[in-house]
Amino acid sequence: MKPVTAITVSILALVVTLALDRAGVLRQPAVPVAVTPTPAPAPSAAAAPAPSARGGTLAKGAIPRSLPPDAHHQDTIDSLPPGKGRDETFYLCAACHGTALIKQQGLSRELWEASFQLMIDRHGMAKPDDADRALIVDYLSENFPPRRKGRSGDNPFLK
Amino acid sequence: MASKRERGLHELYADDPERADALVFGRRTGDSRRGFLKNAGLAGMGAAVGGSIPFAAMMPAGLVPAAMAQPAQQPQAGPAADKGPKVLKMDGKAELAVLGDKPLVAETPAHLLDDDVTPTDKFFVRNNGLTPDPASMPSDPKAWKIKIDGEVNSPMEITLGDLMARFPNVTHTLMLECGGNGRSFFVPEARGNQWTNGGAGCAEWTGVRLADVLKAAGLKSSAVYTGHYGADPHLSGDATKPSISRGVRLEKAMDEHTLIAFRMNGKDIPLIHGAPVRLVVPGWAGSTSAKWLNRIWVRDKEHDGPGMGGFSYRMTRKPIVPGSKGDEKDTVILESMPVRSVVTFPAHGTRLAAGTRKIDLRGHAWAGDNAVQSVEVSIDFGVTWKKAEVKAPVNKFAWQRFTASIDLPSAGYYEIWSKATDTKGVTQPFQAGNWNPQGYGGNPISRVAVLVEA
Repeated sequence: MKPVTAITVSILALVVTLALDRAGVLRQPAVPVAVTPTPAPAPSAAAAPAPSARGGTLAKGAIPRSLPPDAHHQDTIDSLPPGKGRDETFYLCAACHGTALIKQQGLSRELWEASFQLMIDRHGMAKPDDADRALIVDYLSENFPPRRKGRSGDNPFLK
Repeated sequence: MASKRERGLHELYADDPERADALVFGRRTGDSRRGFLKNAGLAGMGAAVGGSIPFAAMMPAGLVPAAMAQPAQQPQAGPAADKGPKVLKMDGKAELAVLGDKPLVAETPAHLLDDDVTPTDKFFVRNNGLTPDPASMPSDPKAWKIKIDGEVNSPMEITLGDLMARFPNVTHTLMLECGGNGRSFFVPEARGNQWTNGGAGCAEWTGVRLADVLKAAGLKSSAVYTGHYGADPHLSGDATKPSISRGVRLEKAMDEHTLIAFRMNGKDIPLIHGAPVRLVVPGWAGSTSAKWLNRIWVRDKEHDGPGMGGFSYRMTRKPIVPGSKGDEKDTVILESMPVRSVVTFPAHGTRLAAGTRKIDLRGHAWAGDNAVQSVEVSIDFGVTWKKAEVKAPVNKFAWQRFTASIDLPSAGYYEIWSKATDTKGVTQPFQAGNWNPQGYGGNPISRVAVLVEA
């Protein structure tokens, strides 16, 4: 396997930090994380302020004591199909968003390249070096190419 | 076994639909551009969709039957992505179809859009960032602050409590729709969440008019645009980056139906829908209706926050080759959403009892800033159309109910198609057109498959 580059290492560190943070390891858990109907306060949250002391709403009680699924979202590398560049892709992309967003797409290499640039321009993603960028865009293009075709198959004006 | 065969069919149709027709069903494309099924092929396709197809002769060649093209509308539980849409499991929410869990995005299956006013639990979810942690919110929501600044004579920071007390409270039934609704209908795929028609809902919103608040702040003559900000953190967790910040032309901001809302369907807005206060900009891309609203920046030029540039919420000015890169400079902002209709009853995938020869169907139609003038339905793949009854909206920017009674001449497989036309005479196309890289404006006629048991 390709040696892990510095950027990947730093992103990995960020992912781990964020994961720990989201898991509540780096701070006192403020609310129970389980999404269950009317959750009982978790024993581990006993030291934190009582749930009723926070949030509050116009009529009291409409802001739930449980967080929506994005708060404890966890993807693993296995959620992406195997292939050259999978690990790099996972660490770069899943640092921010779930792999479900990637897997929904079906884009040409040109549009994957444009999507990559969008993440840098629009979302301030760290710019990896050219080799990693090519590796990741290749992985995305190979694994998530356009799948839908119209009645007449390929568009005659493309390529 | 069955699932393996289904997947094979899908792949074949994806590769070359007309060849798939020929290979699998013996269906050949005739001069009329409609396929006809040979006896064996007819039986084959009938087996694949679960019954005979009374209007097979009119079925366009290469058209993947809706029964195979769309999952049945009860999303399956289980691991994500591999087995169709994942079901949302969340306090206070119905079983919506999850498109992504981070950011959290979930759409409402068409049959759950059947209520006259969309109940809060069935309302779609579209986050761009992370849901704010309730622990970070003031213990008294009335202490929540909203800043109004920029091109105003008296910039203000007003608490929600003061806002509610100082300005008239109004209630309207208003359409909210994700800018990317219908994206999944584009061929080839456009970038973004692959919505069908379920990134839309029509709830009753109570709030104050944004216009009243802006007038109180005193608009300068230089004011032309708004920029909206919410408290949701960027997905990266970087507190210095807004998750998204979009805005609207001043004219839309001053529309009497554009609200700073604090109640949804008569109750406090739930956290996931923007508690304690959000914008509701009906008829325009939902991304302008900032949740967890904490700032409105009045601008002297088109707003340039994240989500305003590139291809985001922009349509191409000239038609481009589907799947091509396009030119960012040759785009215009998506403002009013396009005309759309959904059949909300019967549900896609409904089996009707043997002997059923008639069905009373219903649905909703809407058209952004416009109203819906007419809706037509077809059960023979668009060969003949029947006018549906269309009700007037309860107020401007509310969706409209349509109903129709249709005859089903025999047992077998039917697709119910619906097509709405707005008050400008603009109608829904057969296929999503005007392909653009991020897939806005995908509003083809809707298709629902039903089976009358033999």
